[in-house]
Amino acid sequence: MARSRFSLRERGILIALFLFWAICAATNAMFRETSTYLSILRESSFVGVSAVGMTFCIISGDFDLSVGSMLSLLGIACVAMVGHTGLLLALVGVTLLGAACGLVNGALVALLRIPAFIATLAMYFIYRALAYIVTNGQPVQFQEPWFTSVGNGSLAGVPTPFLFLVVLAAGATYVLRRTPFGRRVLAIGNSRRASEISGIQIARVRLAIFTLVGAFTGVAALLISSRMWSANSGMKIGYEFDVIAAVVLGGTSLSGGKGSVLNTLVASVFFASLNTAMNMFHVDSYMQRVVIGIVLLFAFSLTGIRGYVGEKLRLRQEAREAPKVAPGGESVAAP
Amino acid sequence: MLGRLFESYFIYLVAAVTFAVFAILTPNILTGANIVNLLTNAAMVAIAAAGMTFAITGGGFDLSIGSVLALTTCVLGKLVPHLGAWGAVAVALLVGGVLGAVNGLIVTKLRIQTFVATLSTMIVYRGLALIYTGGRDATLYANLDVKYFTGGELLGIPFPIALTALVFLVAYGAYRFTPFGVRVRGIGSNLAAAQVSGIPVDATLIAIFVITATTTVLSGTLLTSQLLTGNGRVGLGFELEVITATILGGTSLSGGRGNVWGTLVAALLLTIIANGLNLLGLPDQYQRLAKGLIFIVALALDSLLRRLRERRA
Amino acid sequence: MADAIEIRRITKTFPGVAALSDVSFTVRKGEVHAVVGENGAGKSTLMKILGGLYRADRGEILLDGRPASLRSVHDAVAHGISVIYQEFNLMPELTVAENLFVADLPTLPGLPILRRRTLQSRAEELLGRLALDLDPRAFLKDLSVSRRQMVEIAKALHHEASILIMDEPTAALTDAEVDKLYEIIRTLREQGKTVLYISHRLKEIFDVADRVTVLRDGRYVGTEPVGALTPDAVVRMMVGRDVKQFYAHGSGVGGEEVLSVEGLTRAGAFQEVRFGVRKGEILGVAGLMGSGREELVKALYGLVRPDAGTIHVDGLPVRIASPEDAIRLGIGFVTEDRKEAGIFPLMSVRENVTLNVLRRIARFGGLHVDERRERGLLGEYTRFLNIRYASEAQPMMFLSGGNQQKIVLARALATRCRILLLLEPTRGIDVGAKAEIYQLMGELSRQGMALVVVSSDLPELIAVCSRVLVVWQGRITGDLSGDQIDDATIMRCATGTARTLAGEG
Repeated sequence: MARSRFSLRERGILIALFLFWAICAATNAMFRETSTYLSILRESSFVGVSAVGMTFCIISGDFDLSVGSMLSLLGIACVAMVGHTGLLLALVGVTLLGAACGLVNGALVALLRIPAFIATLAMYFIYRALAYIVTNGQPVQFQEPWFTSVGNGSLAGVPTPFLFLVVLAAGATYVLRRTPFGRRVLAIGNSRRASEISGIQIARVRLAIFTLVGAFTGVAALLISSRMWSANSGMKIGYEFDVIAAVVLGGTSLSGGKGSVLNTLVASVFFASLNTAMNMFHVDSYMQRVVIGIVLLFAFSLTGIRGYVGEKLRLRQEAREAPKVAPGGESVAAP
Repeated sequence: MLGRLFESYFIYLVAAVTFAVFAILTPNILTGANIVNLLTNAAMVAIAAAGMTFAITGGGFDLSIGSVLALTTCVLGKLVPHLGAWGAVAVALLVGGVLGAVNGLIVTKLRIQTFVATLSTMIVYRGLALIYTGGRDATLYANLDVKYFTGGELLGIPFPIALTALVFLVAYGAYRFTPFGVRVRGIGSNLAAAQVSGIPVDATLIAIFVITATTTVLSGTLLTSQLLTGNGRVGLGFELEVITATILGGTSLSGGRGNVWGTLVAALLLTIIANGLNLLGLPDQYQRLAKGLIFIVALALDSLLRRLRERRA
Repeated sequence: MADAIEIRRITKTFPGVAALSDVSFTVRKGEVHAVVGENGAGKSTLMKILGGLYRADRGEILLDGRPASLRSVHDAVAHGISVIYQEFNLMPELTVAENLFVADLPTLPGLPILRRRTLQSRAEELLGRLALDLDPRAFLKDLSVSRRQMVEIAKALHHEASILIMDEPTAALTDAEVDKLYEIIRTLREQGKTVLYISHRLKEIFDVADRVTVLRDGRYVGTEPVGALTPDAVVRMMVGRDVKQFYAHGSGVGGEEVLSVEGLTRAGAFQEVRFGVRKGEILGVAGLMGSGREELVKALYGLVRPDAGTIHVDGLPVRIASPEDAIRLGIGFVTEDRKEAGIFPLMSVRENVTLNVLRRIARFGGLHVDERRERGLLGEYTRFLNIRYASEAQPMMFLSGGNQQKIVLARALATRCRILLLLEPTRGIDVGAKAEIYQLMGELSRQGMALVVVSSDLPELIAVCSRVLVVWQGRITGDLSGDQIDDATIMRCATGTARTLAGEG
């Protein structure tokens, strides 16, 4: 079967990650300790969980700029809830609340047909404003260990948040690759018109996708507020860019049509590794930003994000992958 | 025909209605002092939005302008005591030009999408601003030269308003009456076709980013004059406000079609809303909420109207 | 007099594929020279080499007797070569005049200020050279495909092109527009320009070309004056074997009526449409562009909503409000716009075929997509339709046009539809694949499927369909069967000069 699951170009981010780890391990003693890597895995989950949901969104050709603001609102709700409902119900509750927020976003984009960029931009302001109003600008806290251990603890040596990430990513990958819904997400990102002709209810699928993004962000909110023992309306400003960057760095193109949850996960780990490395190398915190920006640029130009494509580049690509037709016209289909 | 007319002028209608609503609710809005204040705030967004209009018409975005704004205030904050107001502004413009050119080079030479490229430079430039000031404020209490930009007058007109008028006249002229304007529209319309048609695409794109950066520097000058401080943390969310003004003003997200005057009106509208809410005594965060809700209602209306028009066609 | 173009021993290889091998022939000055060949024959590659987009690995090109170096589009243009591609290189948000002169806009001396009046008059002059009736101030996005093409041609002239290369220029044009194109080509020839014309439509070659060159599998087969050939002879040269029964007839009428339409009306598209389709019938729908024929067929699939009228499937009245409804009723649809609305370019061949029937082939209550079942389905249709692709995981966008169309067809057939609607099913497809699709249509109708085919290719309709409806200005002006189906009758009905309905004429 001529099917290559592991094509080098598609797993570029994984290679970049290992290279990076290798370089760090060679130059810094801390990077030879297991605890460092565990810490990286933990940190990666906070962005990663939401990025898993965002992957669906970007594959389908949309994106959601409001997840950071959603996060603050949901984090507050979670912390407020957890004392009364206990951990499990709080998890369910924040996920449902997140789904509700996502549903609102989805309604604006899919039903009212407002461009995703603008609609979620507006919600970016609105959710955070709501978060502020609800708490009067004050942070909310909850310090019971059974709550804070979710974000800060580990199970069988693996950081708990990372377990969440792995489980959710596995589930998401399954849904994307092996369910009709996942196929529809891909189809919509490939061609709206062809999807319509195939009988796909585009509005319904987009609505579902935004709801998913909200739900995943809810889980992320629980993990983060548990980690911080608190939540407030100013938390994680700029989160949405981190999330979208993780998805795009993982190789999912902003124009949609294809993507990989696994790559998003790896990209989240990469970012966390980068942040950790800079701290370990005592890079000035402001300089860290500069470094992250430059790394992003470097990575984007490598992992094949080609937005500005000249005719020549596209044609060269086409020619490289021209279908193989045997002379005499025999079928070359795989047996 | 009627449809297109409506589309271009819709924003004017909304602006007028909103202003009227607030005029009724808060008579204070009509005082001379308030109007000047309003126009100054509007100027900041409008001037940067004039530049952004070219970016979006050309098919891209510049997400780094918030950071450029911050960097401008830092440069001014640190250099005004040494070079005087105008000298410092000249340096800031130069720096802005360079940063814009860097954005342009990243997009054209490294072949990275504008969204993602400027997302990255946004992070880098803010980092630079923070490094430059060490994270601290660079205050200008003593220096009154800088106050000219918000307090002074040019030919009898308050400087911010004069500057805005100047910028928009130049912007409109460039958009409508120069080959550059045609090229920007062409690139935004169909990039591949533009490349094959002999348009100097790379040069034009770089020029666009230099424009967005320098107009932002002008906005930053007004901001510094208002705050009398340079700070690496200002301007968070500025790029989103500016892009919203541009799109609300009728510039098409898909590129090729810009609306320069619409941008001005939209920037005014956004400021009117903020100002009106302020005068209504609404706390800051309620204002944000209301702003967001008003955007959505306006956009929903616009979308519904567009669909009605399509169905009738 | 030197030849306009002499192609000498041109060879071009891509990894794994020899696109052109040792191709040599000449194009005379001032002639209209057609280049034909199946997909993969190398015509597109050759055109791109002439246009400066590719560099040949071996061989040389002589223009006007002198060796020419064509390293870039700029070089080609400098040598007077202008290529008009299928996807026009035009910018929709600019006006006609702006598009024409975008590379050298007239400005005031020394200042970057546009002189619009000069632009306007220059545009008028250029368009006048080709007797084109276009308003230079019109925005390109408001123009029809055929008018955009005219702008593209005018643009070529502006660059003082002496050689124009047209790649499938009539792919999206109606018959009337094609005639207009012929006029333009003849005008170009009168002006001494050389035209290289690539097309799959043999009828056009015989209408407008002086000589024709045939390529096959990257090699040169031969060049002959058009007068010395017959369409069959050309096909034989292209395919290298006798293609018997190029067209195949349907099994004819006989079955009961599976679909009928009464009083179907939609303001601005069609009025009071009434017809029926029987099992096993291949019903053609002819008409000029804008006649409403596409909207009509789309209404049968839920893509267009009629204001009034009824549709009956198997005798029962139904409501088709969306493609989902249509699929459930056993109606399938193959679009004319393969690139934008037919394929899912980044998804694999396998995923493209199974998309419509996922729930049926999925397990556990339609939740788990079983790849093995998918592959089975793909294999079934690959054999049935003779589809060629490198592997089932290959992204769709890398297949040739003909194979892509077959996959789109397979996707529709997979829904086990009993009525199949096809819009321009053989547009942009090479002769070999076309023949296969005709055979297929015949086979499907023999199996009892009812087919409705909208096509601008009259010979196709005439040969393949057992019955032809003709639409003019939204109304059915012709319902032709048997001997009634011929060029002249169809055109007369299509232009409203005659009405020939079943039982009449």
